[in-house]
Amino acid sequence: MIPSDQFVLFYNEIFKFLAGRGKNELDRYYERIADRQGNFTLDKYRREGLKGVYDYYRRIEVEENCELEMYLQPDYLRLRMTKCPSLSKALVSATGACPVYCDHCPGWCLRVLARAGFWEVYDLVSRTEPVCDEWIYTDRELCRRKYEELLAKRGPGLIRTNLDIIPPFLANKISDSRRFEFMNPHFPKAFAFLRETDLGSLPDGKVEIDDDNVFAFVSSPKLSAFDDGGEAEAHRKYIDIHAPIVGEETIGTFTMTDRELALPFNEKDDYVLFKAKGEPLTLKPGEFAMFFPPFGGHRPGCTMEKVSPRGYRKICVKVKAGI
Amino acid sequence: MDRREFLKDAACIGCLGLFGGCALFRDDMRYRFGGNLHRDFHASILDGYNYLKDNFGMDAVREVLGDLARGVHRQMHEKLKSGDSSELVEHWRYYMEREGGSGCFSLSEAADGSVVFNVKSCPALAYLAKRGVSGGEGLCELTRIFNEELVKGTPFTLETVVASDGSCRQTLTRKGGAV
Repeated sequence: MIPSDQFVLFYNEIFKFLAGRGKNELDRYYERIADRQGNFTLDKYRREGLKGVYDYYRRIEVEENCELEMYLQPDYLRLRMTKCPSLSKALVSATGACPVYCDHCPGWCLRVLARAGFWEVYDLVSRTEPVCDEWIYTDRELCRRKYEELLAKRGPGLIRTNLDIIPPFLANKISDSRRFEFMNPHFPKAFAFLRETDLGSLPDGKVEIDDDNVFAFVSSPKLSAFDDGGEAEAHRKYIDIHAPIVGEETIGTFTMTDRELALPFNEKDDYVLFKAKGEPLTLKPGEFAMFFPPFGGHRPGCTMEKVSPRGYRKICVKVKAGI
Repeated sequence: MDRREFLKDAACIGCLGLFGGCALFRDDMRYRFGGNLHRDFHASILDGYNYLKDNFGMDAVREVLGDLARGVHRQMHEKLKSGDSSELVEHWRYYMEREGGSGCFSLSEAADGSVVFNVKSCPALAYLAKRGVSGGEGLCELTRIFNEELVKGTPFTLETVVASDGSCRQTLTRKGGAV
């Protein structure tokens, strides 16, 4: 058994191994960590907002022996790590800390926050002192201003942001969807439709919204047990927005790998299918998850229950991507 | 500074301290981490192992675990090279107890430094099972490889035999000798 206390020592050696193979390998690993960490954080973040992020870090502060200052405001959360337990352990390793050890933290945190609809500026402060600063926003423009302010003061070396990250997927509440309309010129119509339509009154079948730019399918699928696995899909021309109308649906989520991206793609019908399980994301009525091409792999139509719930209905809005 | 704080600090810097006011407390284990335990890291360790295996193969797993065993744990490895298994034994004992495995393991040491470490119930596997994380056997494989790498170039072999119920027996044997 590698003790859980010594995880950081193992992690540190993995980073050194990957760093030796190029920055791209580190980025791929951060993406994987974000996929996994989403399990612990994403539901709380997207459902409870900044308070959910705050509560998560309060728990981590205790469990991971951090020294952390936090200030929760209505539109942002400020975190100041004054003693990072992770870097502290890496620094006492007999082999020393990986030179880019600190990068893993914004590497996965920025990605998870982007999936939950938050924007963040991350200041690593130092690679040899166990301190760092974070500002997490619900308003993208506020985040951009903070980013520019820090860039002007400190230069780009240790400043990170997710302002320009297109996540593989993003999950949030339909009522809060205006915040994401900037991401695609067709989103205002797509989200206005979801917000303003009595979805329960729609019959199963195709719904025309805006020609071939935005349309939807209402269906009453039988859901499969998540753990049974099955076929996953991804698209290139259209963004999928999945939203339950009645009942809950679990979707397996994952970031497409180079291997999956190289699979034969059905251009005519805009999909590729492959076997994958992914990390479970459960949606309730009033919530949505959208999957962005080309990295947003997803396995819809699942349930965490053993049998399919009766009466499940959903809508999947297709939005033209790649504009 | 009260006695507990003093002992914690003494342990951290690996010095000699008075324990309980009467017995001499000797601590020369390099990594004696304390504070709260974050058991989710068992899942993170498993994920790191799987990532290396899936993307770079078992040679990469062995390379990283070799660095961990003989680089990060250099002090323990050097002691084993000199025939001293005391730090490995203390590492096993300390972290099994810290992970809540008291009563779930036994250690028997021979005069020549050979040791049998029996784990009836692994705290890491138990935690993963409780969390519903599958593939815990990867942690057993990781332990087996780590052990092999740790004793490379030492006068010991370290065999790891895992049973189907997750219990295991790790046997440190002096080459040419018997436990």
